[in-house]
Amino acid sequence: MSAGEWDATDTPRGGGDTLNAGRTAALIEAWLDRQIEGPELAELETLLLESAAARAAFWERGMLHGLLYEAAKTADGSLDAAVPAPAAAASRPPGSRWFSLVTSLALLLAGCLLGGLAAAQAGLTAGGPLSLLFSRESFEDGRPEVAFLPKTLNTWGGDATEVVGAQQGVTPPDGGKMLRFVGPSKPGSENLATKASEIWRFIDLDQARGLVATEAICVELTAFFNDARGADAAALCGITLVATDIDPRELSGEEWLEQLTLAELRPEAMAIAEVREIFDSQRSTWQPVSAALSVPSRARYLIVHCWAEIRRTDEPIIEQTAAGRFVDDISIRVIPNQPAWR
Amino acid sequence: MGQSPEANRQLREVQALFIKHQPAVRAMAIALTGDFSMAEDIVQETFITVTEKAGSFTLGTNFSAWVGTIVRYKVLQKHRPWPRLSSEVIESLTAGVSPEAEDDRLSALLTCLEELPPRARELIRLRYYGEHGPQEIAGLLTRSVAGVNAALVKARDLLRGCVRRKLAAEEVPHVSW
Repeated sequence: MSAGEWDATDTPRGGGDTLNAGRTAALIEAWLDRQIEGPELAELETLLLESAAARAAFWERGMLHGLLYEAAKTADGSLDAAVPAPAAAASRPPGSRWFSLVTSLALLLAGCLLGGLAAAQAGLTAGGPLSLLFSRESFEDGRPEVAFLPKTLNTWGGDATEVVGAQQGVTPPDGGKMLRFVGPSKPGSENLATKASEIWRFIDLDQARGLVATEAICVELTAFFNDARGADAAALCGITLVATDIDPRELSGEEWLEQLTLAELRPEAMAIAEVREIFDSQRSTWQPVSAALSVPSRARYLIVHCWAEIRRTDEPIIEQTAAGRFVDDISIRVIPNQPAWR
Repeated sequence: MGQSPEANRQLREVQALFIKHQPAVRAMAIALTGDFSMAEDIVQETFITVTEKAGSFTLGTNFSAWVGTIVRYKVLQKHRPWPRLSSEVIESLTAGVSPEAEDDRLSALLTCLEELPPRARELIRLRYYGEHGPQEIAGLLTRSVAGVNAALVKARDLLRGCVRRKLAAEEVPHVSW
């Protein structure tokens, strides 16, 4: 597509610039719709570097373009729906992880936000229900501490893991690093702990609530998994969110999870969301796994748990080091269940 | 937890400022990257940096300039897909530019969207709500890509003119980019 096919008519503020306003506008419009080719992009860049009027035109058109994205999301209910609802995935590159993530989160949050969705749509932000990123871990700066449980808040700890670059046909989704699950915590018995490698993170829910300035919150956790072995192994991966009023740092020994999961004893403060999935067979794409949790008002801490089955019970232990299972881009988002500001 | 009440208050005030500026931050990132999804990442990463550095921001000073610097850095950090603007161009574009809060402009834009002719509104819905590119829209509407391009420009021109008129009518100071 040539920028010459565009029909922009607006005139940028020119001042003393010798600017072909129509041509500049056409190039900017082509850029905004990603319809620009190499020579035209070079032409646009030259204009932007040399002309203040071109830069002003860029921002005038660019900001409208950006705000339209915001406005369209907000106004969807009132925009003409004469055509079938578009599939957002169609415009994304093959293998994009975001569409499946958005879809699954939408389903999860549909349950999580029942109480506050209408209020949130009424005016929390222009972009619909507010979802703020609390943390994202891509393991670019180091691996979790090798300890059964983390010793401090907001740090990862768990079983043996290692931070690695691309290997075994698996490439990190962002950046250059990803986390490889290496070993289970307690070889010798036949429960999850013997087959899976796990990492944990403890979060102070006051911080999460402070992020959105409200007490009633939902938390959503997403992690991306990949399996170098492909589908033949039929192994599992999973994530868990636990809201509790017990300070997890005070727990020790093998009873700790049992203490936390005795929900019937602490119904007012406990909530658990758990999702398990079978690794898919695609090493070239990362598999999003998501869970969402409506946090009880009396819960003080959130426990985040990611794990991957690294051997079947009948597999020899040597297989732990023969092939990789990986996790990356673990994000935790906070969503208010009621509006706190307008 | 672990922070003084004053630090917590500072954090919440800075985060509230970010929320107020979020539509403009997102719009700036979209304009600079040409990519909705990447822009969303930049917004989230900017929020994290704002949260981490909230203590270093002096309330009452220019939040827009501060957050604009962070956005520019985040954009430059990203491996942007082709076509992409060079780092030199992004530096030039963002020099002295900051994402001002856009509540009035956004409100005017929402009103203007409702006033668009139905076919133009449909096009905007496909482009921005559906996140379809012009080629995909052309396929969905069985129109030529050139026709879709021209219609998108026309729709945006209509909206830009409409927003200008509404802001002028309400005597809202025009935010210059």
